[in-house]
Amino acid sequence: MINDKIIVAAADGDRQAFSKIYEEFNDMVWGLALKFTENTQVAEDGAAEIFVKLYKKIDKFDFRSSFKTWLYRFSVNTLLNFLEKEKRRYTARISDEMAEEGSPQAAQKKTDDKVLVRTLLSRIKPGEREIMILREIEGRSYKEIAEITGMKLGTVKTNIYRARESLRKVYKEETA
Amino acid sequence: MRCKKYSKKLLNRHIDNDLNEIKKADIDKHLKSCADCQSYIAEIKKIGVLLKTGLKPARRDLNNIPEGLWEKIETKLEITDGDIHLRRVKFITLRKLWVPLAAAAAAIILIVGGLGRNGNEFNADEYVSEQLDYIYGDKPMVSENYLNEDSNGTVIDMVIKGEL
Ligand SMILES: [Zn+2]
Repeated sequence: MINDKIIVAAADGDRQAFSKIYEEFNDMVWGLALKFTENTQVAEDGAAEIFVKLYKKIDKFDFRSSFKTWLYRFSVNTLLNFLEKEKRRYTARISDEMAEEGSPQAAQKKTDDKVLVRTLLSRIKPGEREIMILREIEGRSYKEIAEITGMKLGTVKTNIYRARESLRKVYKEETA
Repeated sequence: MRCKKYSKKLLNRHIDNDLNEIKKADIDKHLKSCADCQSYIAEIKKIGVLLKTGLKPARRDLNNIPEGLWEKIETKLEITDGDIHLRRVKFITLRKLWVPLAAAAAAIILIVGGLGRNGNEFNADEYVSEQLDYIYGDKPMVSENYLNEDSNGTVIDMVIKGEL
């Protein structure tokens, strides 16, 4: 279990304490990285980025929420920045993969869905993507999303509706 | 969508089960006779399902945290002694039970003033106000044991001995 003492020790540069934090939360971080990047290679870079950054910024944790909630939010934000920063490389990789998936076997509906979802998500704003991942994929409630993102509850409701409207628009264009 | 009886935002809250029973029943009743609102909700739900199925990582990927991920991370872990020093100061000053408020504030200004002259991108004002926010907050930041167990830091020693 991770307690305050381990966190403080990690903030004090203790790598062994930090490795305990890694052991405890690498599942959660890896799962998030996979969902956001939709590609194991990019996910690996993303997960690494989260922990490297966490080591530097762990003193920003203020002990007011649970460490897990804080780390979840930290991870989501780090991934979004990471994807923004790596946009060119990331897009190139995805299109390579899409080309591969363009083989005859790729007629399967599942593959088509995956390609379509990637396209849809790449066409909406990063903030909209984040909130859709939290709501539709992670199944988080409005209240949980407010806690994770730091948005007010009313803002969450408005943003979810707006993000869905954006998605609906690009969905119509892509499937027309 | 042509029907304007309910806003799209409200219909989205209906989808997410965020309405009280009365409002929910109201909308359900309307939906029975309004093809327009019905198809809007169906469309939103369909895209939701598409996202969920399309973005669900494969189980084998989820269970397969890359080998060597920790090693990869470990080679990139970097933190300077200066950072650690600052953090120690921060953690100490956060413990308002240990250090009386006034003394702590004075200590921060003293210490930060000293560091600020040497540091490169260090903003003393920002740091002090950040610290004061924490001090005025409710919760102690670190466990009682932390200070007792750590006797390396000179700043820590000074605070314990009441020199700061
Ligand atoms: Zn209607």
